[in-house]
Amino acid sequence: MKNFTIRAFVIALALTGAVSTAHSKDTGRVMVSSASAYPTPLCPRNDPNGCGID
Amino acid sequence: MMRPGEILMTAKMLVEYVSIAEFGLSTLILVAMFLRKTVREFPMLAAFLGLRSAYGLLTIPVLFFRNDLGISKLIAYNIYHDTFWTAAVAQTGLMVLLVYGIYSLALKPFEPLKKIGNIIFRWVAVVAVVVSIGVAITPHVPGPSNFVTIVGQMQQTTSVLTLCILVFVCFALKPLGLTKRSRAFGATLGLGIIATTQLIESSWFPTAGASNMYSIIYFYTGLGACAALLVWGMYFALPEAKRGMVLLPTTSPYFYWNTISEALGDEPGFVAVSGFTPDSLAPGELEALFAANGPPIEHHPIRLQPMAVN
Repeated sequence: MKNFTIRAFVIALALTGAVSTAHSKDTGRVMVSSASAYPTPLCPRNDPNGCGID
Repeated sequence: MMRPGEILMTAKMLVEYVSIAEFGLSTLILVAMFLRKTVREFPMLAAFLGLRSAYGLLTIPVLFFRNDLGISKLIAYNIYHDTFWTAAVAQTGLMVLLVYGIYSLALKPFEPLKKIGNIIFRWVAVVAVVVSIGVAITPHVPGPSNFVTIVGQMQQTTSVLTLCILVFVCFALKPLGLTKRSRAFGATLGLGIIATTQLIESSWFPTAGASNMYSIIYFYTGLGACAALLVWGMYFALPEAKRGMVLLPTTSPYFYWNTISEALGDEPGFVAVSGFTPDSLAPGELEALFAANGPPIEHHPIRLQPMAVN
C-alpha cells in the first residue's frame, strides 16, 4: 500500500509537470521561475516604481 | 468582504511568512547535512541549499523590511533584480549537476551502464542548450528578452529531466539496490517537487495574478518549496537504510543492458607492429618468453611475433 502511494504521488508529480509544460508552451511565453516564495522580477532594471516593491 | 488593498496586504504577509520559513528550513537542512557528514555524498544538494539560503538572506530584508533599512524602492528593486537573475542561472546549473549526481549514485552498481548513460546525458544537455538558444534567437512576438527566454527554456528542460529521473528511480528502486528510505530517492523526490513547482509557476505567469511582486502565487510556490525542503530534512535527519545487495534474475533487462554496455565500453587492445625490442620487456617477461619459445641459440636473434599490449 505504501509502495503504491509513493508511486502514485510520483506519477501525479510527473503528470502535473507535463500538463504545466504543455500549458506554458500554448501561451507562447516561457518565464523564469524561482520555485520558491521569492517573486520573479517581471519589470526591467531601474524601474521607477521599483516594480511595485513595498 | 475584503477590499483589494486588504487582500494584497494579506497576500504579502503570507508570502513573507512562507519566505522566512523557507529560508529557515534550507539553512537547517544544510546544517543537518554538515552534522550528518553527507555533504561529500551530495555536494550539489548542499550547494543548492547553500545558494537558496544565501539568496534568502540577501532578499528577505530587501523585500519585506525595506522601510526599516531605509533604502529607496529603486535601490531595493535593483538589488533584488540582480540577485534574482544571478541566483536563477546558478540554480539551473546546480539542478543539472544535482540530477547528474543522483543519476550517478543510483547507477553505482551498474558502472558500464552508467558510462553509456553518461554519453546520452551529455547529448541531452547539449541539445537542451542548443534548442534554448535557438528558441531565444528566432524572431518572435514582443515579450521577454532573449536572456529571459534562454534561462526559462533551460529551467523547463531541467525540470522535465528531473521528473524523468524521479520516475526512473521510483520504478527501478529494487533493481538499483535502493529502498524508499534511501537518501538518493529522498533527494530525487524533493527535487521532483521543486521541478513540478517550477513548471506550475512558469505556466501561471501569463495570468493577471502574477503581475504583483507580492502575488498569492508566491505563497503557493513557497509551500511547494517548503514541502521539498521537509522531504530533504526528513531523509537527512533520519539514519539511512543501507544499500542492499543487488540481486537480479538472469533474465533481467538491467543485467543484459549492463553486460552489453560493458562490452561496448571496453577500451580496445593495442598491437605493437614495429619498434618492439627485447629491451621493452621486463626481465621476468623475457624469462617467460624464453621459457615458452625454448632456450635462445647463440648468434641467432630472438624472433618476436606482434603481440597485443593492453
